[in-house]
Amino acid sequence: MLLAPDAGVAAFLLADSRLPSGAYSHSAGLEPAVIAGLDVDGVYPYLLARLHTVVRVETAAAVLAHRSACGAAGVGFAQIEAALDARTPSAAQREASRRLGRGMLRLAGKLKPDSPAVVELQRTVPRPTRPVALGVTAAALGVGELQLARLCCYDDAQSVVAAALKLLPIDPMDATAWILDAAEEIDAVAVESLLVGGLDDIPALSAPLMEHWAEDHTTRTRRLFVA
Amino acid sequence: MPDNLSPVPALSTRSLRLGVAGPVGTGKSSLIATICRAMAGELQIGVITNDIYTDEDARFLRSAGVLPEERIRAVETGACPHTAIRDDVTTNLLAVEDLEADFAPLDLVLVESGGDNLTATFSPALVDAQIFVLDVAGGGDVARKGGPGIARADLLVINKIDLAPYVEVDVEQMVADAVEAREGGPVLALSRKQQDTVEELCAWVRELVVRHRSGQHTPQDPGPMAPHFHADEDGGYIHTHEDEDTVRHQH
Repeated sequence: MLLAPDAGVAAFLLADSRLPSGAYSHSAGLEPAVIAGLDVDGVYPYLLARLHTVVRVETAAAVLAHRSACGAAGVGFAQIEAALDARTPSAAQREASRRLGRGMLRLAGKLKPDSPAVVELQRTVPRPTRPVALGVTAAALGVGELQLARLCCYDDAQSVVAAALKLLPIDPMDATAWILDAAEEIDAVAVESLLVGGLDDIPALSAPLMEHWAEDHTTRTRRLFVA
Repeated sequence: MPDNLSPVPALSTRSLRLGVAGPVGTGKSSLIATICRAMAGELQIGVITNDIYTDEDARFLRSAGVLPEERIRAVETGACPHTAIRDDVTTNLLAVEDLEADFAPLDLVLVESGGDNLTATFSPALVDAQIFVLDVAGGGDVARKGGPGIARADLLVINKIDLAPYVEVDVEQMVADAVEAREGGPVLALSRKQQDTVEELCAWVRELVVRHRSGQHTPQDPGPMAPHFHADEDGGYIHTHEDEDTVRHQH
């Protein structure tokens, strides 16, 4: 699709941790992983492991939601949600994603209250998962689907890194370098996600240990991050 | 409490959202428990807590038995308690709205910030009014030091005044300093062990609820920095930060 004139700035906005959507209270599952014993050397492998499992699933779903928002997918938001739920066996992860999605949708409703896709999502799925909310928000802001796909991957990696700085003794500059180190793989996942043609093309990849850790975290009383 | 003793008009569409901020250990949770204990009979109340590393405050309040447990919810802040009440209030706002929806109609939702420093204040996007809490044990000079919360919260509470003799703080002087820092704004010297001060607190909350419901209350933002005086050859001027584009200066 054609980019709206403001799409470049909008893409920066969506990638900015200062975006008021509540994301700072999430660690992309890193906090429970650290509590389970993951150390400094494990953070970068963890980031890549997420990229090739959870993030591939989410990115494909976000791209599909983006197409649906642009009237080009032939599936509704609720169907994408159901497909994502079926690929997310951990209730804790589904819940965490919906908390983030609600924050994103709330922001989209403020920024683009008249966007038909935003209104449709508010009506049909008031508590969407993050990928669906992000896909719709990106579409409403005129951000193209490749940029959205890259954003999904980048945002997850940055969430891991930002949380790692609060949980482990890491030089922030080293952690920033990890994002660049992962750039090629991020681009590959982003490009691949554009091949999604329908619900059945959303990959069904599992990271059982992360799911297990996520579940453990729900009942903890001493935690910095909600998930 | 019988209905005829309650001056609060019935039913509003949205609760009064009251923030409670202040440094660690000044008694924010205790103040909330005091309000709940004293006013649960006349107001429908909910509480959101923002602990930094635990749900300690929520558990404290639940164990105090001042409200039904399910009306007290903890929100994680990703080690950013300041952000959660100021720069990105999404998490708290969703929690407040859920609480209001689950227990409608609520009269009052108290939002407790994670104990932070003197500069942390609530965004008016999250709360309608805010109480800033200091205590005598933190030192008699803290009120004089000022800061946005001390200077311009809707109410400044100087807590634990029963401890004043033990920490050698002159409560009257501390209150006088606070009143001066607030240019006459309300200051309440409080001890949960002194019933008359608890009643003053409740009266303040009650009046705020009434003003909120009648549409007379306008949320004020304590903001990041107090208006302040700059001396110069012409005698000086008050700088309000509303003219930032035209006047630039070093603080």
